[in-house]
Amino acid sequence: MRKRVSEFLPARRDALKLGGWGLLAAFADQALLPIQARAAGKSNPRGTARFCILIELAGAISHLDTFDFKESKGTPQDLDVRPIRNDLYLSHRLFPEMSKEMDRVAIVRSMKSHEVVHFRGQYYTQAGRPLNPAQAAEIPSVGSVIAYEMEAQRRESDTFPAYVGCNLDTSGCGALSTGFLQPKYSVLDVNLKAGIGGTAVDGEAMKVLEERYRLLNELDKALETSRAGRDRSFGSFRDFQSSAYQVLGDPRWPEAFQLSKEERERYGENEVGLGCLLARNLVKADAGTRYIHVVHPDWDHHGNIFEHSAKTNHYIRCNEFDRALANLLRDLSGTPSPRRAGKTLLDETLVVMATEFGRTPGALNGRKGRHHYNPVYLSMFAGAGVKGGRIIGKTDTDGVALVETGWKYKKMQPRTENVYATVYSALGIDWRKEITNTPSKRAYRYVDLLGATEIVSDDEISDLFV
Amino acid sequence: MFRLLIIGLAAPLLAQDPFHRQDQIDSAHRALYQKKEDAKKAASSLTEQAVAARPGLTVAGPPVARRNFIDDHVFGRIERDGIPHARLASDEEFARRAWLDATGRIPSITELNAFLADVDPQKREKLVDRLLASDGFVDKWSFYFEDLFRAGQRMGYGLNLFHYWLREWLALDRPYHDVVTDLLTGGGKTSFSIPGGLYFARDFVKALDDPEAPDAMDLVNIPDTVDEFTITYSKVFLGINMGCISCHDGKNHLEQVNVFLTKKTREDFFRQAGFYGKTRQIMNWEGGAQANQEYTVDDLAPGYDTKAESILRMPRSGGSGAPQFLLTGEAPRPGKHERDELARILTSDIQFARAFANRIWAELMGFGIVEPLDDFDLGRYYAKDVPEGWPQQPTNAELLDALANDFRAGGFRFKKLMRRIMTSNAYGLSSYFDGEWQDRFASYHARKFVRMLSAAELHDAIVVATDRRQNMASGDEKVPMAQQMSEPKKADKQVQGFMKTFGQSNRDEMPKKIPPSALQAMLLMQSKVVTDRILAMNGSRVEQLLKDTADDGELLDKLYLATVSRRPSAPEREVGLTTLAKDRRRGAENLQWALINSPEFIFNY
Repeated sequence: MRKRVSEFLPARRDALKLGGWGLLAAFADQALLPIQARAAGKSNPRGTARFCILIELAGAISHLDTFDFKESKGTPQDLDVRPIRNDLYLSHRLFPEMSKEMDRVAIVRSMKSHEVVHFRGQYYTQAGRPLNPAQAAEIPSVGSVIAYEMEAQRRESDTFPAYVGCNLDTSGCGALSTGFLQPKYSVLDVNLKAGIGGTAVDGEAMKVLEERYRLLNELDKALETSRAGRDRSFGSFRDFQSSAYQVLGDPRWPEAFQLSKEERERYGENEVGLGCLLARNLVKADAGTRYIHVVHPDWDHHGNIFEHSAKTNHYIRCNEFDRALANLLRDLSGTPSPRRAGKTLLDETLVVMATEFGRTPGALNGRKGRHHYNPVYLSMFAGAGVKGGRIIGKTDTDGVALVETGWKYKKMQPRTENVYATVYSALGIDWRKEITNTPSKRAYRYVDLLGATEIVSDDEISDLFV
Repeated sequence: MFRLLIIGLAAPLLAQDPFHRQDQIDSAHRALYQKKEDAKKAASSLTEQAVAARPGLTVAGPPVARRNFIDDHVFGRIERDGIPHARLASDEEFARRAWLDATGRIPSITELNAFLADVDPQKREKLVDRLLASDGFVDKWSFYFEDLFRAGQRMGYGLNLFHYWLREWLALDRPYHDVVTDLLTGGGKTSFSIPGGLYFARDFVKALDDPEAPDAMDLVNIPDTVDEFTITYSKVFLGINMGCISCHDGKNHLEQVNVFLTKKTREDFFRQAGFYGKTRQIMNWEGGAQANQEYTVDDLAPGYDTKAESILRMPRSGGSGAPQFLLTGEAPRPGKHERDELARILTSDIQFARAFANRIWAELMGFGIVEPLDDFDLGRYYAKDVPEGWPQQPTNAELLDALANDFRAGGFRFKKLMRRIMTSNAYGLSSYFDGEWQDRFASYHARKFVRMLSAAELHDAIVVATDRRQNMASGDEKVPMAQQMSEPKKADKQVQGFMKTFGQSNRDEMPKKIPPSALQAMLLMQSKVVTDRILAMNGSRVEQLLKDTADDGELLDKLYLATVSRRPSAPEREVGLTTLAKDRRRGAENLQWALINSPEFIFNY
């Protein structure tokens, strides 16, 4: 079953009481209201990160076979599980590289979700809140909100889009829109494996592009003088062209996409490997991109989760993620920060692993796989002041039930909302604010307290840092 | 010059020709738009009269004649409320627009010049007729409906058959209600029986657990699948979004969203779904393995179980699952097959005609009379029904009803509906608006609204403009145009990437309009789909022109005509000639590149 959230998204939701167009014709200069925001609580964003890279393992990684290892009836015998330290056991078979880097990473084992369905879970992971079909069309992705927040910090020399996505189109809900925010905050979603967006323009081609672009401008000016009253969309598209040209014309852009053979082999020639490699380059370039969302698809192993003969299984996926993440962490920590003496890029980048839920513990099912499991699952954090080696939360010996939340709430478990509160906090964004003049008039709180099934907390997971 | 004179003389002829060929002259409606004191004066249909009667009224362009009932509604309202409107589109604008809307293609230089040179005052209607009768019409609209019906994954071996069945509909102009009846009825093994079952199979919900026993029926969760499909066909054929009530009653949920659906319950949804209550989708097993591309659709289930477990939704709450049409409460006649009855009831309802007319109006006019297309609120359709504090949903309910009734009266023939709209002057207005545009003018259609070319249209426009065709696989054939492909997913990586960026549906989900983006702009500047084709080699347009056309001015003209379907203006000509003088070959290549990257190329205006 491949249901898409777009089934629930009306093409253009008519603003309820606003008769007429509302969000129709969402071109660049259409709308969008000067944003009115107000504080809805006090937050103290820690501001330790200049960048954030979020890696979404779409389809759901099995928590008990990976970073919350629990021996179960379904555990295969060849995982070569080794103790890392105290409470941390890791399969050397699945994570040979990360086994060496676990000192950099903090794990939250007490995550909880209310979702069981992929497209909803993946929507949740991109929007930071549960899917509400009545409102969905106006809800921006978290990345777009970050782009909006980072706008004020954009320098003259910044040409890269603030929000870049890698393989978002492979996610169940696709790349979410900017909602009520202006289209300029939209994601630039590339898919390197499929060859979309990786334009490497060399010197000669750049010269040609320059020449052509100049001609385009001249002709457009000539056309404008010969005929007045053209549709607004013409001008809007020209604005997109100018942003695109700035990016293309910035030699740093094709540089960021220059992925050498050696690097591609090291990170892995797959979605997450190439995505992390690009993310590293974008962080290194510091040319305007601040938030990168990489999707690593196809984790949904309802069947044959540990069958070596299967085309896709947890061995393959874990190995891919392992190499990508380990190399990303190594490269970032090995690169000194040009901004702060004695610090590395990893000190300035929050790296997050997110997934929509866990997988059923215990014995494997009738198809030799694991199904969806949301009472406990995990997420991981590194960089930007995160205390590596920390483990927050505990599950029981089978990975079935929660034993300890590990943070300030004894009963409430951390959720995707809290992951994003942490992201906002690290980036220095006041996440307890809300935007009041949305088209539906329902205030958009950056982290919504109204969860799908219960009130949730909007706290960051501060135990990661202190 | 002489040509201009002829056209100048023809213009008043055009203006005075009331194209009253419609079956219902809507004089009753005309009364709606006239104040009593003006009724006597409004003898003629010229806007000029209205201007004379209401001195304060300004129009952005010269008076426009009313050609059919569509114009009566559109211009009637414009005049009543004193809204300025654009002038009529020029021949060049009209030509390109009509070619794209009817056939998804831009005209060739020869075709375009022939049209521009023609002095027949009826040439626009005749062009419309020719285009609607062409193969291009079948190409474009079969591609459009394949996107809408998601003719993709899971149609398996039936996909090619579906493709030809759709083309047949459009080539023969089969009545649309017959087509929808075909989509909703029939069954059997899908690779052999088209379209029976194929459309139903586009929605399926996989059963949660695979059973140990290889019972193929259990692999599809049938009640959830029926729910999904009910939502799909209601959206596509009725424009009604039953998604919300598929989960819960309208009461206490939809009061701020949809007046009509607030009164409906989940049981009402079950009963709508009940028409498919006996229908099953059975994944076939072949050679001991699941054959994912082969399935059988039959009607052997016991009926819609309102207590059946749900994977996707809140547990089913019980109640009746006996089939009943949500809009009217009609049930199948005794002794009749439920799905046959669904097809009959659904296609007889005015909402069926409205939803289709609205969709085609949106395609041709920029946005629907009701938006979103699949989210009608029947509780706010007529002004008299609209509750306090709500706006009326349609921008012109009388017009939509007139379109719907005309569509029905015309035997549900799609071409006739296209013709009605394309021969109206409302369609014929320019998108250029002289004067101060206000957003409130939009719902009057006071100018033509632009739309971005679809991904496939854009690809094909580049192919035609550069005359660089590349054969692409489509089933067992090879085709030069993207819109002729039966499976866009089978196109080569570059074409696929290009089309995806411009919003091509993957046909797993419903098509959605994506707004322009920087990535699109980037691609258009850099993609080989463009940059290879504009080069003076391999028989490209630029190569041909450089070889055959010695005069720079003529070359420039032809390049413009081939790419943006018009001649250059004086300032553009200056820039163009300077460019060609500097370096003829490179200049020509760069010029075509610039024209392809201009908004005029990307938009249908």
